[in-house]
Amino acid sequence: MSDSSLLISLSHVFDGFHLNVTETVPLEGVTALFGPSGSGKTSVLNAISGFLRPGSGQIQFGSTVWFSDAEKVWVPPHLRGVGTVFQDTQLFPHLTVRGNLDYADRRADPDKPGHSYAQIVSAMELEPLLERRPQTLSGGEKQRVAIARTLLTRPDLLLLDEPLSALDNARKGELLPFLETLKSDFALPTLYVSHDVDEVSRIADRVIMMEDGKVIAAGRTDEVLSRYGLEAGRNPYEETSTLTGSVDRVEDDLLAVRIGAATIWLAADVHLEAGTQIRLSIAARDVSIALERPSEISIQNMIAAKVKSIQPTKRPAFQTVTLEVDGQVLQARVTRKAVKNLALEPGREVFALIKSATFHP
Amino acid sequence: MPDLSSLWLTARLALVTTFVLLLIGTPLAWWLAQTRSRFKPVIEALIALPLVLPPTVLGFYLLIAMSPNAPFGGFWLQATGDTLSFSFTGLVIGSVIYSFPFMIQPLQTAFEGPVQQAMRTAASLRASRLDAFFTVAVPMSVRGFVTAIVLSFAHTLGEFGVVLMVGGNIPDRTRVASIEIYENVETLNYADAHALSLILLIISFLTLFCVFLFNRRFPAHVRL
Repeated sequence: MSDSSLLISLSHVFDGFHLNVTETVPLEGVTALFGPSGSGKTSVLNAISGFLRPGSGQIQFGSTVWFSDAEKVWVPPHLRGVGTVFQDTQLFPHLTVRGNLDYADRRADPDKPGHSYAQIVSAMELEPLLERRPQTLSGGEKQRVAIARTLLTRPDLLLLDEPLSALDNARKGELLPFLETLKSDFALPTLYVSHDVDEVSRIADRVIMMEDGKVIAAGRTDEVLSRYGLEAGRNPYEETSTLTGSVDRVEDDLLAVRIGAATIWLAADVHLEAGTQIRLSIAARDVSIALERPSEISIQNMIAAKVKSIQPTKRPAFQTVTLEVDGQVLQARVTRKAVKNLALEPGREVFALIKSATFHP
Repeated sequence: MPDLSSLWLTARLALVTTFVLLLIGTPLAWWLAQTRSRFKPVIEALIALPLVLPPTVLGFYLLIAMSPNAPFGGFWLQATGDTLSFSFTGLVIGSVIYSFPFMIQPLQTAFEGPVQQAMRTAASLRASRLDAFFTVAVPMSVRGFVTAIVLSFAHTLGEFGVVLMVGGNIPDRTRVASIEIYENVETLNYADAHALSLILLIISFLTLFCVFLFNRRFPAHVRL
């Protein structure tokens, strides 16, 4: 066992789910724990931070044993030197931004090397926010405060639990450079949980791919991703439908694509001849449902569709509504509440509102 | 002019009871908020019992337990040289049990969910459990504490049945305001009954008014 790696060997059963992971992670750079939701990524993270006590196994950081059921060792979370940035930031609501940062700063070991308060505040660009309350911050700002707060504890190991997943695409774009700063300027060994190929390929040096509580692949990011045919822009864990249509015409830099009787407009950044068959990828989360054709709405792509079926998703608040458009399948991800309020059921005629689509000729 | 000593006794009883409840209730409510023990429903039912039990039933059992012939009452007599029944200490014990749910339930609700998650966050920031309890859980639960303290205090102010059974009606010792009012009515001294009742009504209203005012001014979290 070398001094510079994290040994994870654990087995845990809860609610019929079996987690079985044995992996050695070098303590340098960023290692992504990558896989669909429900694959056990967060449980592995919780076992490392000490919020989950595995049924059996061992967790060893360098030469320090944090957990071992054989040796009956259990180091409580606050003594592990692990800094966790939670998915939902978990800023303390009763303190200001400065209060949140001070909370971590006062409890850090002053003898440990680390960046100064001023350096961290400036790297995350928090000066203008210091006196604000967490409730008044945007999602991206909250994440920056949460990252700074964790850095102030001077952690030996940084755990990031899907820090971008609660943000929309624009906010993600704003926060990504900060994550890259984090990697280049702070150089902490980091475990990064994500289900997003783009993030992983941009940030991680190594990938541990998980599925159903097991590691299915581990290695250098480019190797693992290419072995599985994963490339930026293609997300295996996001429900996406593919519609086939034909190019009708180009107008105002927009491409009109006919799908049966309906027309979808797309930004045309390549020239395509009328009549060309193209495939459109549409993420389920970019599809909304209306009972009547809405007017006065910025979304221009509305097509008549019929509900085929409604399935649960892994997140209880959401359901996937499968729609039929011109004999093809289009999936919409909507809340359970919306399904109920609109009384959606198979056979119902609706309008699908499509926020964005990408196409492959 | 009514005898105000009963009011003073009532205030003392309510204050001491609330203080004792805070000391016992906080750790118990904390345990209930995070335990997965299968005994939790039993404990919760026992704590809620005074809400539905007639005070005389509770008072009757307490009176029996506090009797010098009973193990608990006898032990107390030996240890302190004083009987529990018909004493101020006996009243405090009775009131603590009687007002238990009013302290536990607001605290337990305040300690659940977000506060438990915040405790984990505090641990990830190097705070020990005790440190995190006082620096995160307590400030996040200020509303729960205010509600619990005021309700326990106000509920003890209005107590009658348990006090009558356990403490009787000894001036300056166990004669609290509610019992004095009863006594005044029995002896047809309506003027004093009116005066005392009005004072109790005003105190109770003001106490509750303060809670609602507080909750309005500090909708979610209090700046400390």
